[in-house]
Amino acid sequence: MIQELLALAVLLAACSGVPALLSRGPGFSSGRVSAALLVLACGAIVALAALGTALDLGAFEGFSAWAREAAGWLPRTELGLDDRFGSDPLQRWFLVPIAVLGGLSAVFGLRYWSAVRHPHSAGRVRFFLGTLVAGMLTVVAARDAFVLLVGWEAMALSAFFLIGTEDHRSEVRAAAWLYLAATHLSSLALLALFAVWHASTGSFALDPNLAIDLDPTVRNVLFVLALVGFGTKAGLWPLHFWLPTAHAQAPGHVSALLSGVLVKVGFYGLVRVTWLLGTPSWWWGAVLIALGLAAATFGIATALGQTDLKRLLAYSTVKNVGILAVGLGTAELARSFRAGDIAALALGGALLHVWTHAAGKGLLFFAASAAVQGTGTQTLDALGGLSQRMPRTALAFLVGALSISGLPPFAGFASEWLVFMSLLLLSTAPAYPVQVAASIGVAGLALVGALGVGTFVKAYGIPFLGQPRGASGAYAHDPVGPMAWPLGVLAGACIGLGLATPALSVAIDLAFTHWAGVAAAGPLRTLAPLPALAGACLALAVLVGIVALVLRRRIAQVPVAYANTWDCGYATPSARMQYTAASFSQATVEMFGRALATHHRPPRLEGFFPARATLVVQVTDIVLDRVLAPALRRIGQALAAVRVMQSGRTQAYFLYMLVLLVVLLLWRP
Amino acid sequence: MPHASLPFAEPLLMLVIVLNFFTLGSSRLRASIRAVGVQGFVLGVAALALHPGQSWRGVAVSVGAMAIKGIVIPRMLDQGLEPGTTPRETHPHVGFVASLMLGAAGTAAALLFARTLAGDGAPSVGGSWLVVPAALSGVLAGFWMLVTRRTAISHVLGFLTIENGVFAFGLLLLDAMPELVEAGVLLDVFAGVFTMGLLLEQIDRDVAAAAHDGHDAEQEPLTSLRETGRFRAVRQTDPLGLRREEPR
Repeated sequence: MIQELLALAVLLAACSGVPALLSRGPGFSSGRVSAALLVLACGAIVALAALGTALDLGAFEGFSAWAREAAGWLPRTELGLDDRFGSDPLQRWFLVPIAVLGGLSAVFGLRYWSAVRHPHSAGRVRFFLGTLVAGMLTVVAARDAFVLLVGWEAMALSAFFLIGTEDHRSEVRAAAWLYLAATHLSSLALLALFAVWHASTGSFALDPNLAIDLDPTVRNVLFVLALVGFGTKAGLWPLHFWLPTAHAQAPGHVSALLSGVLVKVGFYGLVRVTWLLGTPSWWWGAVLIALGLAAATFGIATALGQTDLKRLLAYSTVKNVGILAVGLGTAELARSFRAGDIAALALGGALLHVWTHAAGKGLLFFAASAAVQGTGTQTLDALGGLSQRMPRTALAFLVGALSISGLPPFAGFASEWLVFMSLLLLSTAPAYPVQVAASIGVAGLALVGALGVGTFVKAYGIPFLGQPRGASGAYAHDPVGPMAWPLGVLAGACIGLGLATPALSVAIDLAFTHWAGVAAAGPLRTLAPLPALAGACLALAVLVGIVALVLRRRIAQVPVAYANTWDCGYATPSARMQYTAASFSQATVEMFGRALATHHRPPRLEGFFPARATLVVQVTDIVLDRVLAPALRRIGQALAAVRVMQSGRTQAYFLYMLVLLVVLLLWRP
Repeated sequence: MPHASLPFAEPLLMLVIVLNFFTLGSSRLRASIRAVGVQGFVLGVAALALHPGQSWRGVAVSVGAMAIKGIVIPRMLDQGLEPGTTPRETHPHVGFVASLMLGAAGTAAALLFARTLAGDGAPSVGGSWLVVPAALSGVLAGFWMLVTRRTAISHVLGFLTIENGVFAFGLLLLDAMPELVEAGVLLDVFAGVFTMGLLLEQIDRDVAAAAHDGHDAEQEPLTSLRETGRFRAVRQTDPLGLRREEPR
């Protein structure tokens, strides 16, 4: 019954963009209809997920029997949905953030990407937004490799068209093509994954019972293929190379969706495959932890060096995917040593992080998009002082930044803390190598956390504090109407999720029990003192609120004078003498030395009265710019001879076919 | 269900092969259109002759092939040409005589191949062993036209010749799987639509253009289907299409 309704909701989401697509001209109302349909579908998904959880917990015992009876009255479909579509606790956990952020994205996009402002692409964007959400929901709800792949491709192609929305700009096209190449890599690996799965189990059904008798080699192959296929989509370092440009060039509400939930669908795939394969080899967890730590470190260090606001947020996503991988890896490692409660903590932390990061990064991208739209630029060094013109946006961005940085009392704190706890507990494991690995993990996460705070001090401080640099922010104003609602909702979520962890842990327990096949030693709220933590967070929030109120009243009572902070002897300091994005992070970036690919072009100053000069400092992506791009260029040069065949003449291609045909006719094996 | 073919089945198939030579050797487009049409019609008759006394389904396939291949498509192509002119294929990449020689070699190879295909003897339908050679020679001739001819309408003719060859091959299967052969006829319908779209979009305009600058070797009017409009920039200078054109 829930399956059928779920499928209907997904279908509704997929079709939600049709009214906007079909309308000609700046039809604001058709865009509203589309957004309303998507919100309706997403609301239905959330309601169904809640209903499923309640049924699993044994609520409505009588109702449940009644529902089963009612379901018997419904005409049975021939689709066999039960085998193809599902909502087990793990699926429900991932369905909710997709639906929530999908709906908010549609609402935000209503004004942000209005048909008046973008008459040519508004309909297209709404249509593909619907199919993207539907694709992601299908991937998560699939119980069958075939359904999963269909959803996967729908998701991948919709995202491609959304990233390429502004296809008149060459950098947007480059980002879209890079994404397309990456998503092909991922699809290829997934096709191989499910081909191997089918060859060794004889079925496309995703059923862990089929994996019990699998050969260890096959299991390892399946794991590696899943790591490549789902890891590419998740943006797991070093397969993240598509992510920063795609996030930076897509429309803002699409970036929020990509960063907030699309990469989580990749992570969901990893969780699903580890569930499918059951008891892991010890090195799976180790590989995941190692990749996750590398991802987190490189992601956040590169983020710190960025000078583009959306690219910075994108690299922060790379970091957070790293934390998810560390969580899953710790859970896998603990499971291979039969340490069930550590696994429960680690997976619980990762799952909670999926929600908190979706809320925080969605909020950050929405707020950043509002700022970018208000100022017309996303270059950090052209922004500044926005908190005076966009106070509510600045507040929302601040909440998101604090939450993403993992600071209490916000939501990001609880999830990262659970992963920390699990690693700390694992470092007391009996096996010596595991102790070492876990200790390195703890230290690495601490480093990443500190760098993360630094990154978001920069991400908030440079654009929102200080004085405006140039005139770009002169007409900026806070978003109004439906564009402001998602900011409020997600800011509320960033605070509320942190306080609601004891309640959420019930659903996490269900998901963990489903994933591990057995329940942990106790519920998550007793494994980790979640209620006490939530209470402390609440107390801290109240305290901060009181202090803020007191400070405001104090400031209101005394006369306030504005003066320069320090002017180093200059008579007329200007706004351009503020710390720039690059100078803020210079010391830390230099600390990483050659591990970060820094592009540094010093200014050329000649003569006594040097002309205007420019300094360029960019932290580029070490994987893409130092490894992949040169390698691909070399392959391209090596294949130059083959290009002669691509003459562009129809006749030549027919000749190739003819030659092949004759060869095939003459060929005798 | 083994049955003997009617006595005129083999001459019909030979006519099919001969018509391949005609289209390979002729520069006159109207005559070639007619030849391909006759070839299609003859194949439809051959389908009846090779399978006498079959179901209404087979009869429908044959009659459909006669109507579509023999009448509808040639008429559409004919109407697409400018009335009152004698359009010709000029400057093919390989000359007509050489094409004929190669066509003869290809047909000989097809005959040899058909003999060795099944080991001890050629597969036969209703006692005729000419079906496979006729099919292969049609496919090869059609491909050769696609490779050597420059005008778009010749490419359509080459495509139709290949289609006729494939249909001849389908005659082997008419008893076993009529659906497959029906699908082949459906492909003909597709070819018809394709042809019509081509005529409406392309040929009318390009024939007119050809009358004006027909000697411009660079322009090559009627040459290919893709070098029009916004795709022109994809030509030689950028074989992989790496540089994309800005939308105007």
